[in-house]
Amino acid sequence: MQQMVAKMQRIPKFWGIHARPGRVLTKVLGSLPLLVIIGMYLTASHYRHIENPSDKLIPTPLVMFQEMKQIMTVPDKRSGEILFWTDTKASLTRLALGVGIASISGYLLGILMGVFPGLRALLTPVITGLANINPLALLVIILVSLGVGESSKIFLIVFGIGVAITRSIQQSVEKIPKELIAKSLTLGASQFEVLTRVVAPQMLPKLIELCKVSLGSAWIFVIAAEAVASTEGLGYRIYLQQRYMNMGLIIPYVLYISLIAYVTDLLFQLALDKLFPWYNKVK
Amino acid sequence: MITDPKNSPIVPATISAAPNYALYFDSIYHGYGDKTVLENVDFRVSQGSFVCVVGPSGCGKSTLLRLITGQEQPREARRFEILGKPGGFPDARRGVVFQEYSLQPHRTLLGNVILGLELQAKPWQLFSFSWRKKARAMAIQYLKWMRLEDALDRYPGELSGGMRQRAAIAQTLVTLEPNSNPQILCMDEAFSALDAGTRQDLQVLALELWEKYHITVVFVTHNLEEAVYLGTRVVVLSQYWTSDLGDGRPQGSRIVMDKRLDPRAMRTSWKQSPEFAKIVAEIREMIMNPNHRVHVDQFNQYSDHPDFFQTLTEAESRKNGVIKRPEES
Repeated sequence: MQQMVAKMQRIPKFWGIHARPGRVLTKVLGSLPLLVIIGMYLTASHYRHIENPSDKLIPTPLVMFQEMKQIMTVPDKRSGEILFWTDTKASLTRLALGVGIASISGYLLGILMGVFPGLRALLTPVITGLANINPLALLVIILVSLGVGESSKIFLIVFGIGVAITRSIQQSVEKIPKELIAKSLTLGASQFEVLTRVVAPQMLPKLIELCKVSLGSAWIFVIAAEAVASTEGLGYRIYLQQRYMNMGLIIPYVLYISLIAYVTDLLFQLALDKLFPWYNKVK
Repeated sequence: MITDPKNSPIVPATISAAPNYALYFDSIYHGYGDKTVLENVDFRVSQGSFVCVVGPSGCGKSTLLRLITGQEQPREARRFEILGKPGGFPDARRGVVFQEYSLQPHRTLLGNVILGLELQAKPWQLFSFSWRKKARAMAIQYLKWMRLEDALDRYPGELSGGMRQRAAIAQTLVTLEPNSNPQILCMDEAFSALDAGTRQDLQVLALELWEKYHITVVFVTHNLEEAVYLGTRVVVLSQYWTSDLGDGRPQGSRIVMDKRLDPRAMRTSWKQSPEFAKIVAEIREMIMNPNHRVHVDQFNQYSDHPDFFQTLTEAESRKNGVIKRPEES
């Protein structure tokens, strides 16, 4: 017996704007380019290694593993510390302090500038001017004036991302509908309460999001500062090994920095979703 | 004293003392940039009135409401008083329900409704467990009236426009009982996003609360039946074209019709009466003919006085669009 079956539109898997790659296909597609890149690297390193066993430019995974094993387990002869952890701790401390100071000050200043037009008129030219200064170009001036200690590195990060955070927060505050402010005033809020109960809580998830985005630039400034003037840190180690052309250590270090960046990004996203469930529902 | 006889208003002899005005706007001019929105608007509302403002889109109804809430200050005004004091900035005496953007996105519906109670509470009350419990119960009560008891813990962003609208109404009204605020309630198309059943319930609720707390309501709407049903007074705001200048340019809006309705007629059955339909049709005609200029007579300034109905003859009342109050027997 023939069944009546409506002729359905076939949904393409890959081609065209109507395509719907399934779950599995999405994973397969996503991993393809990665596998190609890794495969190319492995092939290149393999053949170079056969030609010249002491090649340092494209080290094999085994060389990288040995280099990493040494720096992670064998204490440094001079200081007696395990350099890998010293570097990690130094870089992360700088990063955390820089991003922390920048975000807190940017949050407060941005909110104040967004809410009070008088303050905005007073500070906007200065902030706009600062935003146009390239922090890396300023690096030498910072080092000369603040010395080569920790404060100069942290200042570089704070300056590099703090201005952007301030401006972003200020713009978001200005985007809050005027009706919302008026409404809270008619509910009985004082001007201070508008700040603390309406504007500030609404800007918290925005701040987390900005931190997440700014971490990329913050890493740039950490590595740059460490490369120029430092005695420890992930960036310092990379630039130190450059002298010996020691790619076997440099490549894993670069990957390690990427991994930290990836994990922190995930953590910020997790915090955003868990702490502010309303944020992505705002219409 | 007024000396120019041409400008002297015709004051009914019995009216001597000024009545209790919630809003006293005299010759308001307002606009944005080159555009004049409100031109020479006289708007007096005695306390306890339920004024419905209607008019074509873009005629400045919302602008008038923003002047009342204090979000904007008029460009020019001979007199601009709210509850007997100069306008000022938004405060708790004036509640408002906007078309949108009334709810704080970072608070749940319950949190949004409690916000008003918290903001008007004494500082120590915020730390009192019993006060918090009472405030919570009160907020839930209002949300139940708005049929939102299933959405207490949802965020505004998750809800439909109608639900948000109802929550905004609850948020505005919840402080009526403990703080007798707002004294003036402004509603900007507050019932427009609601289905017919909810709308009718809320209309009845609005009337109940209006009677119970003696608040002054300024209600902007596009629904003429709603306006005539709810209002003790229907004000038609409309642009007018100056033929005097000969160029026919639209000028700012002014009040082209100011119709007073008997508060006692406010019951559901009145909606079926032929007179109701007649009034609605009359207002509709007025809105659809913006060129139709009606001069609100000078003594109409005083028509908001409680004694107004006694001081005018029947003919005058009809001329000025006043429904004569039925004789009490």
